[in-house]
Amino acid sequence: MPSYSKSRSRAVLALLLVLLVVISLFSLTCGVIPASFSDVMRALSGNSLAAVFGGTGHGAEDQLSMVLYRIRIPRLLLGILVGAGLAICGTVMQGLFRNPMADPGLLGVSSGAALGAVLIIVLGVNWFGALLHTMGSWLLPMMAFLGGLTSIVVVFVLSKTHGRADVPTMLLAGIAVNAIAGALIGLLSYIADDVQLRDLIFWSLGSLEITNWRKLTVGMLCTLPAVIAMPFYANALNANLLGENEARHLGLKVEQVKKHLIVMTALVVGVCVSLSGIVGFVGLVVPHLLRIIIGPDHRLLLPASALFGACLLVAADMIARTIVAPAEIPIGIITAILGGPFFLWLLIRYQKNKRTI
Amino acid sequence: MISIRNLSVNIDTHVLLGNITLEFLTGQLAVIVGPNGAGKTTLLKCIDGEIRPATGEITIDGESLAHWAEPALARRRAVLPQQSTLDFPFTAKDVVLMGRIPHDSGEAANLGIAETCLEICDCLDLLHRSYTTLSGGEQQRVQTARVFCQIWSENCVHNRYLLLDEPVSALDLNHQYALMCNLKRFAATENIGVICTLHNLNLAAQFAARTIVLDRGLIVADGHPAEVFTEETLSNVFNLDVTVAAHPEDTRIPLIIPRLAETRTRHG
Repeated sequence: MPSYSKSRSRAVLALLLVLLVVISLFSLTCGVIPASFSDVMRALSGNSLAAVFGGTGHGAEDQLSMVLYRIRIPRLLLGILVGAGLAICGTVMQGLFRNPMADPGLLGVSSGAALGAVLIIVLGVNWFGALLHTMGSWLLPMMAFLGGLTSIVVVFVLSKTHGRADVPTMLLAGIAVNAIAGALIGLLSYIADDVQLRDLIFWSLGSLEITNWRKLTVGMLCTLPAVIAMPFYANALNANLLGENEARHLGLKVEQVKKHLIVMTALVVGVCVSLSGIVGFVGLVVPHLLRIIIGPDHRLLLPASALFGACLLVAADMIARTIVAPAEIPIGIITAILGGPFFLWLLIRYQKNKRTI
Repeated sequence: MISIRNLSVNIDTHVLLGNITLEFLTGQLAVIVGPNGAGKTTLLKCIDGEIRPATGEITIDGESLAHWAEPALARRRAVLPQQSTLDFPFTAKDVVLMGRIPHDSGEAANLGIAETCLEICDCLDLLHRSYTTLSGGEQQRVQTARVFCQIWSENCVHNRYLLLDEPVSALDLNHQYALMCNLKRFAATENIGVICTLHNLNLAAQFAARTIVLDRGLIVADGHPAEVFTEETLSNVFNLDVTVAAHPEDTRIPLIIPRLAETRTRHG
């Protein structure tokens, strides 16, 4: 197992960044209107975008600029945001719970956030009219954050025995929270009207479809500070893996660190869910794959998770958009098809050698 | 100096520690012994801040435990718990390097210190092994190296303390003696105050400058092992007839031997 070094970290992160750029450019070329790399580069250059804004241009190239700016770029950015956010939250949760099986989806943080969001979608106009009026685009992510926060606190408190969350209790607590949130979401969809219902279904399967730059900007403003802050807790998470008391003896303010990380996780997961619905397993798969390759040290694992999570989700979205083109498969189905068996494999491995995952 | 005044810990009506008053000096290896449930671990956990006592006060270098800032305290005091679980595949080197978290001594210096500490604990060959694949004894040695690494200092200006809860419980005979030699040396040459709980009385007798016998939450005896380890005290505390002889090589060191079953006066 490799151990941490600064120079190696820089190399790994640079490599992942290059990978993300390549995958991103490639994803911009995919879609109903075919485009080559050079088309995309040309369309991304200043002149063409100016033409989109100025409305002076015409022809195929300008149409591509329009498609890129209105559809593909926001979608790409959302993919990067959600992939990076969910993956780094998975890594943080595994460190916090001292348990490699933790994941925002499995532990009900996502469905708690979903409940908060569905509450607004279904009852928004009638019940939260005034709030909706004053908070606008911020209300949905905020309710999702509150829903996610409630879930993670409940699971965290329930599953801690002797300072560490043992796998069965933690997963059971997650099942319970998922069930409760699922039931309430079911109840809300029962009273939803037809238009809302179509929204809910599409959204509960997870989708990166977004054409609203304002929503995207709000999402980025909410999550980016937290995602950037999380790697600064790397040493604290490393020490926390030794045990909470051990971390305290190493001079860390454990209670404070836990609170910060729990709130940030709920915020990032909440906003991701409010934008893209429930996209499962990213937070479980990414840290696991990375740990095998780059080791468990959070100083590298946290930023690498964000980058690799973004790569994976953008790639998954390309699959979702292309295999049944011109229609698309909800991305949550793709991540579940890939992530479900991975989770089973982890459980089998856990059963075989109990402790070491 | 670590100073404990009128310390009491209760769980419901059960007394874990009753009105303990003790002082621990730097430069001394103090060993706490006593039967299971005597309160040894509870006492250590009070000193390390994990348990908040019902009454009493603990000060480190004159400052109350609650007033210490965590990072400053971590540079002065390292704690080795009885058991640690780590389910993530850190290398032994990474685990030991975590001891440097409270310090800002730089990556290169930290690496050197970590390797020295691994060598002291005879773990240098485990450097790149994953912690999760190590045996219990190896894990204990790596954790010990970690706490050594935490209070390591080339030119230390403040007092340092090392708290170890049964640090030899998983070690073979050779490593038990090696560890005790190291602890004694740290106390003598580095002026570290070492407080350690042990079940092996002969190890305590051979290495400790001071032994404290706890029984049912009370201090039964406190002093040099030659004074403290008497047949009467030990037989009463451990409820087992023992003979205290002299070590063949050094008559000042008591040697504790349980009596044969047929000569025992107590139940056996």
